[in-house]
Amino acid sequence: MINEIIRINVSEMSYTMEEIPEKYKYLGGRGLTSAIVADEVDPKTDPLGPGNKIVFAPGILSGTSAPSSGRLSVGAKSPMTGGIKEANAGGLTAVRLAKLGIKAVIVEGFPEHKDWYHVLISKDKIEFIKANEHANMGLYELIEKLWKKHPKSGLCGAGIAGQRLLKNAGIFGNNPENTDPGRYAGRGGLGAVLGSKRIIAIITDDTGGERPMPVNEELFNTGRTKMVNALNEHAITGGKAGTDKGALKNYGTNVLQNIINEAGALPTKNFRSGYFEGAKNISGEAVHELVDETNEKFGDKAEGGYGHACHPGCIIRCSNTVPDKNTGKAIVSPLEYESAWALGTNLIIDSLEHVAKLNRICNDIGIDTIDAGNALAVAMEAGKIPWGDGQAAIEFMKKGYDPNDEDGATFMQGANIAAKTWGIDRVAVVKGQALPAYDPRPIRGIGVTYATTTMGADHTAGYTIAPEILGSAGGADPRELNKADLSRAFQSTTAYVDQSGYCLFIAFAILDIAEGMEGLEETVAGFLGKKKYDITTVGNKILKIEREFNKKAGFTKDDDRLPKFFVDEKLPPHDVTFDVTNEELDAVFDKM
Amino acid sequence: MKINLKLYATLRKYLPNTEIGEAVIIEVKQGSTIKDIIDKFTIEEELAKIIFVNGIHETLDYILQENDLPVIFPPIGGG
Ligand code: SF4
Repeated sequence: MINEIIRINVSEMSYTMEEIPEKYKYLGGRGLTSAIVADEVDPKTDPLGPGNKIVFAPGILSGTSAPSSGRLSVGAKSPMTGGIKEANAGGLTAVRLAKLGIKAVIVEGFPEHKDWYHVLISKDKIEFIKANEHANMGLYELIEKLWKKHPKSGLCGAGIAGQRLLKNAGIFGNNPENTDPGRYAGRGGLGAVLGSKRIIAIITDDTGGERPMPVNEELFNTGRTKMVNALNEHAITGGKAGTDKGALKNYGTNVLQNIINEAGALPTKNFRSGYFEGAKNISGEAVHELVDETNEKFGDKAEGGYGHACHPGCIIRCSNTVPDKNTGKAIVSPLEYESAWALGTNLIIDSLEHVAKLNRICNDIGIDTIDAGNALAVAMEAGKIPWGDGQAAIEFMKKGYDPNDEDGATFMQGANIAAKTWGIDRVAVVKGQALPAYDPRPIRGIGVTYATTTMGADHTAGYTIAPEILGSAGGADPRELNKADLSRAFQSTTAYVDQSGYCLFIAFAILDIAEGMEGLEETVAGFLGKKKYDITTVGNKILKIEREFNKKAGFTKDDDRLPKFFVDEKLPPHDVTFDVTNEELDAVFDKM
Repeated sequence: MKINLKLYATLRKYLPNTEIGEAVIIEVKQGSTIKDIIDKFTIEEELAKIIFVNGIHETLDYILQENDLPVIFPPIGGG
């Protein structure tokens, strides 16, 4: 099996397969998508024009026996931020591509035709499949249809929003059971880039493929054992679903709803307060209890769950399925913390059912939940939906299905454009991308990450919440203002993890357990056949490539700032503002 | 004196028959610490990983005042 890069040229409807060039040999995931975008895309190009390319790359370890390593990176110039973008997700595609020996799929060119296509990738073969009948179709229906023809395939692509080139379009992904398209590389509008190439879905069938083997098996296996032990041992990543051990397996990421609330940092009503009385009703604990209740009531017919894996080989298993309380049938899978916050707390909606249904519409229509929730908040600011009215929010979101509905189209452009269109000043965005579920005023490190990451406001880019709130790595004071070093260190390690294929949630275990951190480097180095593959050096290199791209695209230090209201307006209940100086923000990259 | 206590996630079982996020009023002696509370409920020390009192991070040796709201979480994470 060779390591291949596949180029899909939509101008000519042709493809090539080439062996991975020497310079990319030790890259994967985000490292590879960002390197290819930086090398081949003009930073000034129109993100939805002929010059942009979209790259799909499994992580270095995807498809191997390393635990929780099947993440897919998707990269392009972002239509939402105008800068470089990498978004990653679980699902099946990364593992399938890796088993076919494919390191990256690059979609390039610009079609003159007006037809829609799927791309079918299988062993030694690429096919274009005309798919006009699947345009404008909800994604739950689409993935079901595609799996009938291509059972067990990895599916990812652009939904209704992406096909209409709307800037909050994510790249969907099917879950291992193909019951939900909710494994999203959601952020930054990458679905619109794929839509501009007139591609709906990339279907990956790995029949005849084989597991990628490490060059240095001994080192890889040593590292793998360390990683497995660390993940199983740690109280956050380990434990067992249905017992009183194991935070992620029992409550999922949404266990954060209550804790961030108790810390007074849960953005409520478009970032007006840090505390929401109704948060508990949509929390991970509430989902857990609803699942237990409906399982008892509906037995075999119950579809709710927790402790679910988003891709084959994940042993952390943070994913869940929210059931309907009256029927036990699935509403959506997963319901993540960020989504429950964006579609619930930030709109002061505290009905779990409404929040789950809003998330389902996002998944069906093909948009990112974080920006969608922020856009709904803007619609509430504009008086288009009453604050806190879940049913009205659902009706509003359904406008997105109607290609002639202006509000629907505006809202699917994301919060930033919605605010400009509707004349609303109060919008929480950095580089045009909406803020996630942690108010930066009481938690300063995450504010430094939001402001400075090349990705636009993104918590995953440098998740300082781990030490600042969750006590990881010995803890850090959330109010402390000197957070450039902390944010830089997290941004760098994250870039490395995003390149490896491991899920970012390994961080909880490896930050506390030294062996786990060794396991990270040893599995990657062992797989690649290198003696060392240093985390900070490699992580910083990726960050520099991305930063350089953004500079050439026209970004300056002024883009590394939070919206002014975070600096001026006190956040109750602790009445704090974002007091980090601009010098401190600039130090993240100046001192790298 | 009286304090209000909240326990979340896997610690909820120590306050049976309460709603999620419900603060329970408990009576403690003057000078009691958070450690005294978790001992009273027989919660293992390592499970009382994250402690807030009135929204501010504190540690096990924090000395409680009348009407304080201690909130205790086991080790949790997400993103
Ligand atoms: S920890 Fe959760 S998000 Fe990460 S790979 Fe596993 S199931 Fe997916």
